[in-house]
Amino acid sequence: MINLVVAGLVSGSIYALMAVGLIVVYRASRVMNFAHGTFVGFAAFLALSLHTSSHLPLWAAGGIAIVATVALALLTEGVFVYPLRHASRLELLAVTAGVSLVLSGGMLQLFGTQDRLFPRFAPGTAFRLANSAIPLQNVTTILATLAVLGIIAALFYLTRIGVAMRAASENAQLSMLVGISPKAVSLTSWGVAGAMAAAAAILVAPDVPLTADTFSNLMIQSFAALVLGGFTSLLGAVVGGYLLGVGLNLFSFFVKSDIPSTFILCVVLGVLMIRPEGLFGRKESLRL
Amino acid sequence: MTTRMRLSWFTRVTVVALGALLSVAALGRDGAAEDVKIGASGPRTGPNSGAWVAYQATRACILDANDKGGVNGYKFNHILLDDQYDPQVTLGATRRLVDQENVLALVGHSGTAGTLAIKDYILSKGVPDVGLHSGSAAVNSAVTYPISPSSASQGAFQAKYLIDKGFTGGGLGVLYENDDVGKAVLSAVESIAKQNNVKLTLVPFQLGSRDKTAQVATLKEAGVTAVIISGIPSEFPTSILAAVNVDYHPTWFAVAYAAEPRVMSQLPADQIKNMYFSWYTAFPGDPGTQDLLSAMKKHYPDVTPPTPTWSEGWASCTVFLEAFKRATQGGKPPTRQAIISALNTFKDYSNSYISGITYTADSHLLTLRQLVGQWDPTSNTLKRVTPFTAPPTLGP
Repeated sequence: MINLVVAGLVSGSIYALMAVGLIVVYRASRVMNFAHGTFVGFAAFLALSLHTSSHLPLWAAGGIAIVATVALALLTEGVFVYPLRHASRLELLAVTAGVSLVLSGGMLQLFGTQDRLFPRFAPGTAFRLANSAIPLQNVTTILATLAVLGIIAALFYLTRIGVAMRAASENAQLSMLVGISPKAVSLTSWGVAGAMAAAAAILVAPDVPLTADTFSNLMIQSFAALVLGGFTSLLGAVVGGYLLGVGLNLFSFFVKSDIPSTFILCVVLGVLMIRPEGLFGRKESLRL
Repeated sequence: MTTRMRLSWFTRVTVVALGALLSVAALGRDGAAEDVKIGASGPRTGPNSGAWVAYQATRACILDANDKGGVNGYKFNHILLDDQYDPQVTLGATRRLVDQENVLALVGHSGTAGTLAIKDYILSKGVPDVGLHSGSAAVNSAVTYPISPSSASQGAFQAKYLIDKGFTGGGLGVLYENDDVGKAVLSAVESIAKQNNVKLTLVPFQLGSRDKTAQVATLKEAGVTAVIISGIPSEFPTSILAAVNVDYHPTWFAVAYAAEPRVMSQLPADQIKNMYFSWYTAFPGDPGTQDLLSAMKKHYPDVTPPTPTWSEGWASCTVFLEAFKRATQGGKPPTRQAIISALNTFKDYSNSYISGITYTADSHLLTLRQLVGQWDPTSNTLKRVTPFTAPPTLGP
């Protein structure tokens, strides 16, 4: 039971990190970034290649992957998203889907089709609890995720740029009047999302066989976490991710083991019917 | 405003163009004009993209045959399409191969779900599916010619080995994908377990489940000491990592295509020592497999290191080439029906890569001899534990 919960928290860490990356961009640009999963995959493949082919230590490979993924996110924003900022949300969504396709194709050419596995950075057992051995890797992943999420929270609530990003997401017109540059806010949001994508990749990649579209598939769970927690709340995205991870494991163990997608869809449908704004979201009002 | 509109237009065109280019590249024709068109669709992308290497090996073999002058005066144009391991895409890609490209045969096609999706269509068109990688009885038809042993014989072989070696003291478990791929072994394993009075625990999972901790915890709680994993290769590492999550160390058994070196090298050593793999073709490097190694080096230098899946893809090609040779003997023109008739003459056909292929007009399911291998972490390759042996006979 303890192992199930811990493994669920690891899965939840993935969903939370990816969901926060999505929500940061969504709040700043009103874009649901379909390329986010591909950013995660790009970071994972780059770090793995630098580690295995160029023999860089994992920390150095991870550092380069973070910088490169931030650059990729900024490039996407600068070339594709910002110039289309007045387009409809559907068009912007299609643009990010296009970016995702191009990136996936590029990764396929660069890294091939064979399954790979990222090295576990913390093998061994952390401690025993009630006759359960808790893997050190899992404990490290959960703690590191919480640290990353803490840094993001500090950025949003304790820094000027964070306050500017929140202000712009609340009311773009008013924030411009007080001198907040929408371009700077959008760029910063995409950069932060890129860093989140790379952090998710490095922390999570040891638990999944890597292929060009591994992380695109995890977008479904991340969307579900967002729906559960609420599209307007960072805290909601985190709580939604962890609830989904643990809930999925407990459901698979106690109820039925081969219908996780059905479970996720039921959660999404249930939340949308009972509380459409999610657990921590706010109802958006339309002033006429 | 004008500048913004221009930029928007440029950006949109760029995205669409790049997307279109990518689609063409992903679904791209991978061949040059030759005399006879053959082809297949496969998972270049998607959840089973690790199997693409078998297609590359098939293609390397076809190109090698062309380099050596072809067969009976014919050379081959080999067309590969990406079906993303999605049965509906497989059907669309196969229609394109048959209706637009007019291929003589599908060669080296892989996957039970995709084959089931195209089964009726290719039967109606009389297109032979040669060297198919699926052991499911459900794919059997007058035009499907697998080279994989039947899933029933694979499951029986694996279960019998685990029982004979005394690994099933606490019971035997099957962790299986809840579709035609994973379920295909169940009846055979149940039969062997029943014959040997061994407790059996069956635990399903959904294709692409990243975290199988709940499923593996169920096996652990049931006291199972030996587990057969039945599913596509990428389900194997996630099963092992789930066992790490719950501190579970059973004896594992899977088909050797799961033993991908880049994956195996990262799995915990205390789990690897308890793993066994079954297989049915030669290993790359075995006597008589030099053609495979040199052709892969020539055409796919980046695809390394060699794995048994290479031999599987190459074996598909050798079966097609032999059928083509028989069909066009004496200057006869190559037709789909001639290929089918030639395949039905295969009686215990063997070469350096595969042995004992017999197709009859009634059934194309194979009961091939299989071996057991274990992973050697030092050389990062699969090593034989047993010679090729026949699988056990199943009761009625």
